[in-house]
Amino acid sequence: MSSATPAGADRHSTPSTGKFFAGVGRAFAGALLFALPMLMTMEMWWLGFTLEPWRIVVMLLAMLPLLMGLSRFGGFRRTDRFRDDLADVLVAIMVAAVASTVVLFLFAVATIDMPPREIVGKIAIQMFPASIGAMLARSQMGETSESDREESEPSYLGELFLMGVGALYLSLNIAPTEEIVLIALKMSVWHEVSLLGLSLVLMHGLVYSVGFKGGTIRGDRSFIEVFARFTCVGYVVVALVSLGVLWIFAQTGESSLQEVLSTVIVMSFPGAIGAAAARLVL
Amino acid sequence: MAEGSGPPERTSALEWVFALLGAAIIAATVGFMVRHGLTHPATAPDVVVVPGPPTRVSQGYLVQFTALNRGNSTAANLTIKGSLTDGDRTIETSEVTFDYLPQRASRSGGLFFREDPARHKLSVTAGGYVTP
Repeated sequence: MSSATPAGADRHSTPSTGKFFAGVGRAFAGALLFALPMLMTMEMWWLGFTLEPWRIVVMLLAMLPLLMGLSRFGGFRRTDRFRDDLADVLVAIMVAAVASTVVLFLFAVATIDMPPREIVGKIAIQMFPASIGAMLARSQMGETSESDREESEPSYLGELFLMGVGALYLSLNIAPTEEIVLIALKMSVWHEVSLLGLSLVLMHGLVYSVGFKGGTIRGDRSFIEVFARFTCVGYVVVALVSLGVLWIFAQTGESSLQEVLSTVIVMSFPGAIGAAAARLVL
Repeated sequence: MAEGSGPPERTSALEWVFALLGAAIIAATVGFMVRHGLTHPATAPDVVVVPGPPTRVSQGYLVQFTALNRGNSTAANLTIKGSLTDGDRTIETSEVTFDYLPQRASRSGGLFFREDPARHKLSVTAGGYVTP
């Protein structure tokens, strides 16, 4: 954008039909790659009918700004206008809905004799991970080369956003399972403090080493600065993402504050690694 | 924000068609859920069990049944109990558990008996459930 000349508007192109369909094909692949573990998890099917409708609505509405952000940092193509990002987001949702519907019906997890509420619920839950996958498809499999991506330098907030998506990437797989609650129940306070410490150490190590490769986390920053601005703030972002996902999946339910806190710490462990490796994964 | 070689791209008419479809899908899903939430306030599970006729199987008899949840919330770990009685005397009982019976949905299953259910009084009822 900053490099746009006065004549810049004339240089904008629309992708050819072939290129567009290639992008849609990649989006399908991305949706399946990202959502298949969840499409094959029975807790995710059950959430389709056990979750209250308003939780599903909140999840779908929260998905939109998240996808808008992803469109800016990855997505199908380079975009500089709100409406082009919006078009990408909506195409990703369309792809996610079709992919989830086809797979759920093929698995006979959804059948036509089920009540509409059950079918729509099951598909709606899967649309969340699938549309993220569709959106990420370009950056994972597209033409954008690694050097191309390293040229772009997201702002500090953009960097934190990517960390949040990285955390989501790993925690979405784990959040709906019963194991996450079971692990939290098995752990003592000291286990939890140790896990939190290990999460921070691993996260810092990854942020530091990955950060050198590109992005805003440059080598000329001091250890303390990287730790404070990226690792600590990043961990807070990860913990908030974990809490949000647990809440949407009704895993926080009637639990006490301690239970919720220890579940968040357990989930933030993979989340922290996902966040720190976001630049590698996304 | 995403920079690189070449100018940013615009959206083609074809892509807008796909995008409109996506918009319709998300609007319809949200609309359906909101409408369902408003018109179906959560009520306790209300399970109706309809047993079918007993059939002879290799080791005894089978009574197949359909359990329908008329309530607006899901029953988890729902037990279905079948019993054969003669007056006050219980001849035989049989039990099965469903992981989930979603709201307004039906699931079918079967109960095995050694005695012939046709020769006794058969009752198949829901036992209990937990909230998921």
